[in-house]
Formats: sequence, structure tokens, C-alpha cells
Amino acid sequence: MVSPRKKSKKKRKTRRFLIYALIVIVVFIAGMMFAPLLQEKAYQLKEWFVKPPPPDMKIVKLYFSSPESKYLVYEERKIVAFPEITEEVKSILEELIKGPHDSSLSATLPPETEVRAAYIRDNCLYIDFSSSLRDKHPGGTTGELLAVYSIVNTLLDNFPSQSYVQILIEGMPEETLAGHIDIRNPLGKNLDIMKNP
Amino acid sequence: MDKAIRVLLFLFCFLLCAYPTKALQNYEVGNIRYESFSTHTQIIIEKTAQTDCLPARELTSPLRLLINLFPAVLLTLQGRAEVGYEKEIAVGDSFIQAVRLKQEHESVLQVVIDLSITEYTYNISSEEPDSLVIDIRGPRDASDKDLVVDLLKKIELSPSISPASPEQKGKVFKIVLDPGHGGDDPGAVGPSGLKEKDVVLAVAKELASLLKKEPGIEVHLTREKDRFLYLYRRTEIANQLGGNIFMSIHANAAPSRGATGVETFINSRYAEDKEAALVAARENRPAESKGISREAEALLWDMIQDKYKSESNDLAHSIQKRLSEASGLEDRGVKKAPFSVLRGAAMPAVLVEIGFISNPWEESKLKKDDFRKKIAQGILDGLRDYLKKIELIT
Repeated sequence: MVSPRKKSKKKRKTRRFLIYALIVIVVFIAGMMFAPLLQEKAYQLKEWFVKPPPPDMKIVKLYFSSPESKYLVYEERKIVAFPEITEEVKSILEELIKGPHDSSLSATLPPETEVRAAYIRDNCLYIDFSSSLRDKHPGGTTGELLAVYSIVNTLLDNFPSQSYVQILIEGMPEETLAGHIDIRNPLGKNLDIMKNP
Repeated sequence: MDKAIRVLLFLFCFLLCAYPTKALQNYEVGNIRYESFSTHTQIIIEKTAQTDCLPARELTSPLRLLINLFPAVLLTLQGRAEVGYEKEIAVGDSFIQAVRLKQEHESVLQVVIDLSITEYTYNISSEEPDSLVIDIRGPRDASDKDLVVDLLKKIELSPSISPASPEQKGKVFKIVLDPGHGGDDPGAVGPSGLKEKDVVLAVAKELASLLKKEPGIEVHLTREKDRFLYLYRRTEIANQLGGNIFMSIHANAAPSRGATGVETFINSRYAEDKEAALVAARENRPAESKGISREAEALLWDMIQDKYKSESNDLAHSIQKRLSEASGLEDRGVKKAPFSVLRGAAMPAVLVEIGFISNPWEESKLKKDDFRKKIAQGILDGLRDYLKKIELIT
């Protein structure tokens, strides 16, 4: 028969072993759950030390309202060149939303406008805008024509391989932007839109 | 000690249980499965309520149906979101060959259904917020193609009115005036608060009272009160009345305060030729396979309005000339633009802009009754010029 002291010592040892085993398992699971997070942090740290090379720049055309809103005129601007075409599309639209540098021209889109997504399918650029484009637009036929065609002409001028632009608002095609212009279907480039036919 | 072990054991079991019951988060797309029936094949995509299905498009050579889900993310096997991630589900029945998914963009999931059937109809139902159901079935008896052709035949048969036909000369001539906006839609608002909807209603009423005095002319207003009408409804009223002229009246606004003047618009064609528009109409297949899609309908109405393009052009020029003279405002001329409201009209249609409400000086003029009367008179004179031209009046 084993002495009572040895027995309790053994019990304590197995108990301790169980606790350690349990801790290891818990830590292992926790580690698995947090591993991606740790990876991200490590990557971020690396970026701190290793600086990426300076980006390439390119010149793009942005169409704004002429001084008496009679037609669209373009302004050239330098932006960072993105390898992904959809990223470049978004960047160009963001510049268009910011407005012209030339104070005699006017911006055509509400400053609150956001580009939710941009994608390409069969020569058509689909641009999904936030509801601000429609809700914060001041209205008026001329204002609306300028807004719609500043988007269409700007994009198609900078991406000549594309033929159409379809404007979406909160993911859906709309009947009009501000009550006048039909934006249900993809639109083609039209630099004469404001001029007398 | 015992208690500590029990607590740890409990925690462990809890963690173990918590993992598998993780529900779909954000806009994840979950399980994708299909069911084959004799009459159709059904694809069921598990999703969250946030994910929406964009209008489907048909691609040819080989025949495929493309549906974009937005926002949507299909996680990889490792549970990550990755742009470019692809997944293929082989089906191989008489309707569908395979279903291919691709993460096109961080929030756009493209679903392509490779079809094995050559003539088909489909139905997409997203009535249940947590699943998207796509049915592919055989062709119906009357396809969309037939509906499109039918409608076009109707366009060919209805006569043009210019010059006024002998039948028309005896009958009353109906003019439909459409004061833009209304109700919750104020239209453009001037710097001092003048609302487009109020100005155009006043001018339209003034013009209507002048037209009532003209013999042989019947005038109708799409709205006589401050209420909102959908654009399709305005032309529907005109079409139902058997109108001969549709005129929408608006006040303009522009980003530049310096923009001034009056202008008259007519519809600009969507596509260069009928063939292209027909192809576009067929490609825009509806989400529900009854009737044609909104987008296809828009194209058809564009074609219908095109029949009246020369009359619309003549009418617009007559009005523009007299309006700019009577108002004394800058003549911005006749222009073409893709107007939703003009595209619904089966008669000559114009949209008249009576000045810029965004210009402080023109806004102040538009507030005054005598100026509104001048505008109405100018439009009336323009209408009379046009009616003389088509020999309806002398």
C-alpha cells in the first residue's frame, strides 16, 4: 500500500499536469484565433521600417462647368498612378468631386458625394455613388446635365478603351439624377451635350 | 485548486462551442447549393440582408448569365476576404453546366451561371433577406423578344401629325402642360428661397388660361396643385388623353450663379440606330420574367419619341424664339438632352426652361406676376407660330 503522503503528492502532480495541459490548449486555440491579427501587426511594423518606393504620377483630364455653365471644360491634374484601373477610376472621381483649381470654373458634383464602388464589365464602367450625389444635388436641368456628363466625359476621356459609363446610386440604376436626365442605361461620351445642335 | 480547474474546463468548452456557431457577418456570402428539377434548376445562395443583387446581364458565346452581388464577400477556405478569389460549383444538368463565383472587387461578388440550355427564362427572387434564389427554366410561349417586336410594330402604325392630317383638322387639338416637380420635390431652389415647383405651376396656369381662349385647342395640366407626380405618370396622362403636344415647364439652375437665360430642350436619342437600341433592350433582361425591364422600356420609349423628332424640333425653335423675345432673357437656344420625361411621350414633346432660378436677378424676376405673364405669352406665341406652320390654324 502506498503511503498517504506519496498518494497526495501524486494527486497534486497529476492535477498540476492537467492544469498545464488545459492552459496549453486554451492558449493554442486563442493563438489560432488571433494569429491573423498578429500577422497584420507584424506586417504593419515591417512597413514602418521598409519604406515603399515613391509612386508614379500621371496627368488626367477633369471636366468642370465653364464660367456661365454653358458647357464643360477640362482641367488637367496630376494624380498618383494606380496599377488597378478601378482604383484609378475612383481616384479621378474623387478629384472631380473636390472641384476645379481654376476659380472661374465650377464643380459639378456635391462635395459630400462618395464613390462606393467601381467596376468594369464589357467596355462599360459601372460607378456606384452614395445617395449624396442625388440628395445633395441642387437641381436644375443644366446643373444635372453638367453633373452627369462631367462624370461620363471625364471617365471616358481618360479611359478611351471604355465606351460607356453606367451611374448607380446606392447600388441601383435610377430613373434620373435630379428629376430630368435619364440615367437608367449606360451613357456614351458626349462633349457636345451643352452645345446647340 | 479544484474550482480553478473546473473554471478553466468550462472556459475551454465554451470556446469550443463558440467557434462553430459563428453566424454570417457583415455581407458575407455563405453556402451555395443547387437543386435540379425536371422543369427548372434552382440555385440558392445564402447571404445577409445587406447584400443586394444588381440587374442581371446575359453574355453570349458561350451563353452565360451574369449577376453581381453588392456588397458581398465570399470568404476563402481560410476565412479571409481576397479579391480575385474564385469558386466553381459543377452542376451538369439540362439547364446549367456550372456556377462560377469570383470576388471582383472587395465588395462585389460576381456570379456567372454557365448555361447548357440555349433558350431559357430566369427568375431571381430575393424576397427572403437571407437567401438569393435563382431559377433557370425553359422558354416561355411569349418571349421578351416578341414583346419588343410587338411594341415596335405599334409605333410604325400610329400616324405622325405634321403636317396636320385632314382627319386632325376637324378635331380638337390637345395640349398637355406639365409643371415640373411638386409636393415633396421642390425642384431647384433660388438663393432667396424661391422654389421651382411654385414658379412653374404659376406660369403653367397662366399659359393654360391663355390657351383656353384659343379656338380649337383643348389644354390639360398634369397637375393643378402642389403635388408630386412620377415622371412616367406625367407622360402616361398625356398619352391616355390622346394629347397632340406635351410641354414640360421648368426653371433652370446651374453651379455657376452667372448662368442666365431661357432654353428649350428636345429629346436626344439614346442610340444611333434602331438595331443597336434593340440589342441593348434584349440584353437588359428583367429580374422578374414578366414584361420587359425598366431599362428596356426606357429604350423603347426613346424610340417612340424619336418618331416625333422633327415636329419636336420645329415646336422647340418656335417657342424658344418667342420666349426669349418676350422675356428679354438671354437666348440659350434649342438643345438636345436625354430627358426621362420626354422619352415617355407618344407625341411631339418639349421641355421649356423659363430662366435660371439660381441667378439672383432672374430669380427676383420670376417672383413677379407680370414677368410670369410675359413668359406665358411668349410660349403662347411660339405655340401659335408652330400651329400656323403645320397649317392647323391660320
